[in-house]
Amino acid sequence: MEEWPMILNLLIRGLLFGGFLSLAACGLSLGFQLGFINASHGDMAVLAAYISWILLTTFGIDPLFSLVMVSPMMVLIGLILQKLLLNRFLLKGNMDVVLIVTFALGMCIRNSLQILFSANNRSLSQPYMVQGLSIGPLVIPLPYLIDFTIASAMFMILHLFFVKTFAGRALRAVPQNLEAAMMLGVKPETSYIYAMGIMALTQAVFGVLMGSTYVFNPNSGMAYLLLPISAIMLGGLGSLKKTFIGGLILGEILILCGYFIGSEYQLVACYLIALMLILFKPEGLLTRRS
Amino acid sequence: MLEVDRVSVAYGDLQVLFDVSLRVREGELVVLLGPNGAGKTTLIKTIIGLLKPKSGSISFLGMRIEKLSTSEIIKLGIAIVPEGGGLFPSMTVKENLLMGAYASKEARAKVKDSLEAVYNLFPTLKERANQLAGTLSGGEQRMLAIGRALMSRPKLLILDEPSLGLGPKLVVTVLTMVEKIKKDEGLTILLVEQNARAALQMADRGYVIENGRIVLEGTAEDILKEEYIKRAYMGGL
Repeated sequence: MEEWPMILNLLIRGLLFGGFLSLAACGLSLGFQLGFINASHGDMAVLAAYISWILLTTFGIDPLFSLVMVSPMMVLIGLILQKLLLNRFLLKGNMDVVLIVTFALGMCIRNSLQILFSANNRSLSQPYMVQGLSIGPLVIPLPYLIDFTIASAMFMILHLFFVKTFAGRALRAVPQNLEAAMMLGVKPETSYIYAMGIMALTQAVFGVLMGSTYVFNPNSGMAYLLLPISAIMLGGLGSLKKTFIGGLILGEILILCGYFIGSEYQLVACYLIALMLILFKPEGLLTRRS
Repeated sequence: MLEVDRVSVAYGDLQVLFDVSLRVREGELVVLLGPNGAGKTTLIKTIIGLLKPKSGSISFLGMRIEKLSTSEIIKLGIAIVPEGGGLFPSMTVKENLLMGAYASKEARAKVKDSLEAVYNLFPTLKERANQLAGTLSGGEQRMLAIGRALMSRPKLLILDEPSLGLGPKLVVTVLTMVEKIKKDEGLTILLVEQNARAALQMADRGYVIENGRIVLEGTAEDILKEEYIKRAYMGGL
């Protein structure tokens, strides 16, 4: 009976963490469905974390509050990037070039951050965040709850966007039948711009929250890219729901691994899972092989 | 309303349309006939802006449109039901219909009324409003495709082989739908079809295209009488 509360704690934490991870995955998955791979996806989150860190250390602005400022900044950066650079290649169908360009971009971000801030770990964590909430036998670290709640709120907003707005519906339609969508007046460039906007927004929130829950450094971008990719591979492409479930599963696996094997091996576990999936079920656990 | 004037279209070095001219006047139902590979769909794609002609011009309501983007052309009042319907299978019937109003602010503003009108025209769509489009039967999918095109309240409706792949009974159903739309809504229609006789019986005028060239044009009656059409497209009766 001693063991029960611990397992329960782990399972709950896994869900909370997983739900939060899904946030990083949904932007990426949207890009995938429209046909473009943003290799700098993770680095965008790190960039957001550093912007928040500057605001914290220079002006004393609380990280959670800084989200209000960092998000629009990141969205603007993303949109400029998309409009001036990436759309050029996407509209010609050069998807591979986009992969290379975003990869290079990621490297630029990483190295610039390293030069500006050194490779030391930083954290956005604030004293009021470092506590656990006790609910019966459960002890849930507050940051997990904050992360999950904010991520869920964003999911809800995204869901409404995809279901209730013309732009959102168009984004869902394009992967299903591009030519038909174009015949209805959908412009591919507009879709890409919306997708990048969503990516930038979700990554800004993800980056700042990750930064206040754990530590980060200029090279965290790799993990921030690998985790959502694994979540997407677990759940399969195609809908917010699948991405969310993939994230939940990944979260559970990571938390359980972290406890039983050690947190140094969490990313290794992630790599292994990704490898297994590529080998045996590349379309995701939730997708039926057609 | 629509004037295609000596349009030539090529895919790279491969020319597929040679000096094609075609006219659709307001209120008419014009039929474009021709075998597979003749260039019918290519012509449609060119009219709607997905392809740009090498030479020639296209005018709609007096405005030159051959250089405009698809979304600009649609805003002027052309709607298209592509070959196979072009539905979004993982979206519901209602969502597919809503996509029909995507192109213009006016269409979006009137979307509720347009939806009602389409539901009145096709009650089955109303029944299945929340069903995924991919789960509908063949005939229902065509109905949905046509309904979606009507959502933008177009002045010219272009249908690319709406009866393609359907069994004989459904062919009749779909073509009857098209005729009904012409009568009830007073729409101008350009109908691309392989079912020559059925289409010509509904139409005012027709064109026949073969190997990228218009080989015959005239009133529907005249074309029906042409011996060669009878042999080539209607089984030699």
